[in-house]
Amino acid sequence: MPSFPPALIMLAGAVAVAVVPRFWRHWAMLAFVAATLAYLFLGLEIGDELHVQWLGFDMAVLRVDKLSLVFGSVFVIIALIGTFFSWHMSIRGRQVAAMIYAATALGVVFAGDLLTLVVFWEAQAVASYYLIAAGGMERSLQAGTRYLFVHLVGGSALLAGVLWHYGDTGSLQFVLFDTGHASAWLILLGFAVNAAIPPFHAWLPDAYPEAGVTGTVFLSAVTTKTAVYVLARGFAGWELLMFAGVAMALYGIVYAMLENDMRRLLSYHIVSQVGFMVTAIGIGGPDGINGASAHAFAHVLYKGLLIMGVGAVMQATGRRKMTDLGGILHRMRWVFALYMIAGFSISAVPLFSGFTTKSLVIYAAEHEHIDWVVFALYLASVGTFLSTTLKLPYGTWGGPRRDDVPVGRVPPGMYVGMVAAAVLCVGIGVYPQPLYAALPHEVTYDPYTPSHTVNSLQLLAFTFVGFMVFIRWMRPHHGITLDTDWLYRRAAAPVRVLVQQPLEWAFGASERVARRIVGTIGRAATSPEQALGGNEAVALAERPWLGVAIGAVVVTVAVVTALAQLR
Amino acid sequence: MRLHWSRRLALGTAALLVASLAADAALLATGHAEQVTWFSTVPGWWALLGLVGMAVVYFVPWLLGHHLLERPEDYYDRHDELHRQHDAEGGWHA
Repeated sequence: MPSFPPALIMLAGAVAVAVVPRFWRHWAMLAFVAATLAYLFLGLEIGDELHVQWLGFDMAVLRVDKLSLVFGSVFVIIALIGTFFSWHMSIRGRQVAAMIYAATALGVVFAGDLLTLVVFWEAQAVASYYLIAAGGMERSLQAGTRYLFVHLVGGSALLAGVLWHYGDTGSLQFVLFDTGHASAWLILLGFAVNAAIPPFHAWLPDAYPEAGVTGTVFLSAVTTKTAVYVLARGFAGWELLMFAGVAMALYGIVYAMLENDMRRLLSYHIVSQVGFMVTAIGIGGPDGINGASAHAFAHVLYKGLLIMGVGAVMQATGRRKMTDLGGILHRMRWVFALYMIAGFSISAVPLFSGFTTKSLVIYAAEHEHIDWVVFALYLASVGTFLSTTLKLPYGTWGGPRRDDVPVGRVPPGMYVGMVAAAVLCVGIGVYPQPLYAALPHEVTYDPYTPSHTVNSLQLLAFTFVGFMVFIRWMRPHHGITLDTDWLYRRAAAPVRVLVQQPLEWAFGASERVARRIVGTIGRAATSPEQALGGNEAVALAERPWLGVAIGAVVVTVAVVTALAQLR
Repeated sequence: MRLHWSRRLALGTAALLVASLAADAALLATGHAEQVTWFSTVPGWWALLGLVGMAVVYFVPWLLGHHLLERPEDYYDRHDELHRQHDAEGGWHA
């Protein structure tokens, strides 16, 4: 049987979820996601391609290589984990949106040409918008609208870049872009929005925390990592990305340290961790691409687990801010333990996944002798450990025991999802060779050298000492932080005053004038005794609709005549 | 706010410091120290980076937040509410 895009299985799953009765929806999701995973591992082979003709274009809707398989497989794995995690939730719209969202991500990573990519890219924005807007609060809808606005702008830049690229080169093939083409910069802008590269990143901490507890698991895994994939495919070795990546890694840390909302804190850490991947892509070469791919794979899993951990707390307590939590460790020990596995993974503690993948990124910089990048990434690692693995758990579970925080039951499905992710985080940390073998290029790097292991432990141990010394200062506090979304949230007011309101006034005034004219003519026609007099006028008065029609015709003729004169 | 400094923490830190320096010396002596950057084999470097890095990562955001970035919880909500009120009162036409 010829190969076909795996997105089709997910889309079929979305249709099935939409039509089957409530009881079968979870099983349908599970069956179709599992079938997609089986198809990826057993049905697809490196080098598989599928071309279709559409509107005269040759569209490569399937292109399988090691890079697309790494990203595609982790998207399906997190979809499977997310299905278990959301087992208690049975809202048809959200379940369908989650399936479509995962399908569009697969569509992007297996797209062999830019037109196919754009189609799935835009569909992904709409599906993710639904996941955010369906969060159940007014804030969710507002954040979703802002998210859609930003992504449509990014998508428009991408589409414009693709069309320009096609005009310049006559090709829609999705391969490495040349820095000399202006169209490539426009495409890069479109990708940068989804990758949350500052200053285009604010949609992420704005929107993800407003989605539902389960929706955020899907969101945190897909949009930014899809962007990492397309950057790795099209912009590997672009030095600008190395600088942007380092800036992201540190920028995310600064904001994460200031956050009180658990999911906003973790959202800023997505920015920071994606910064590691973007840095690796900017460095380029086999080491860089391997580093970005491996870290993206591990990141999807441990970030999913982090989000699931705080999601379980939100589900049980109904609270999302650390200032409202704390002192509940004795009632949520298992959730805490599972969260800490993710915390150790993101912090690159030996035997956890980040240790074997983040070090590949740093190794790429070391190999190229870019010392300042190595230093900056280690500094970002310190910040990651401090905020994600020490500050957030301390603010959420730690501190003096509190019995005034209501802690409800965590659904069993949530535990299943978290345990599955935790097993994979530890598995990749202890035995990374299968992941290394799946990477696009051969890996000769060994993370478990005495030097790397000892140095990592030293770094983390003394960060912990610093945390203990400053622990009283680490307590979260109320407040929000301004970010670049201020530009379109707050600075919209002057735009409103200077542009929207004068336009409203002008339209209102012209509408009133037009109504007055039509009203006057209509009255003259329906009460002609006042205006015209005579029998004809009485005849018109008995049929008021005729008067209105005549009035409208007169006005139209007058306007058309006037316009003709102007020409 | 005061720092948290106890006898137990001081002893633990001292023990860690000794162990860390001993590990660095052992790596150098056995030829396992990897000279990948200028700083990677400096004895005590990683312990120092952990401590100083932690302080930098705490104080830089604190300074930025305190003087520039932090706002009350209802910063945007209050702003939106003012607009809703303005519209309810007839907006521009009022």
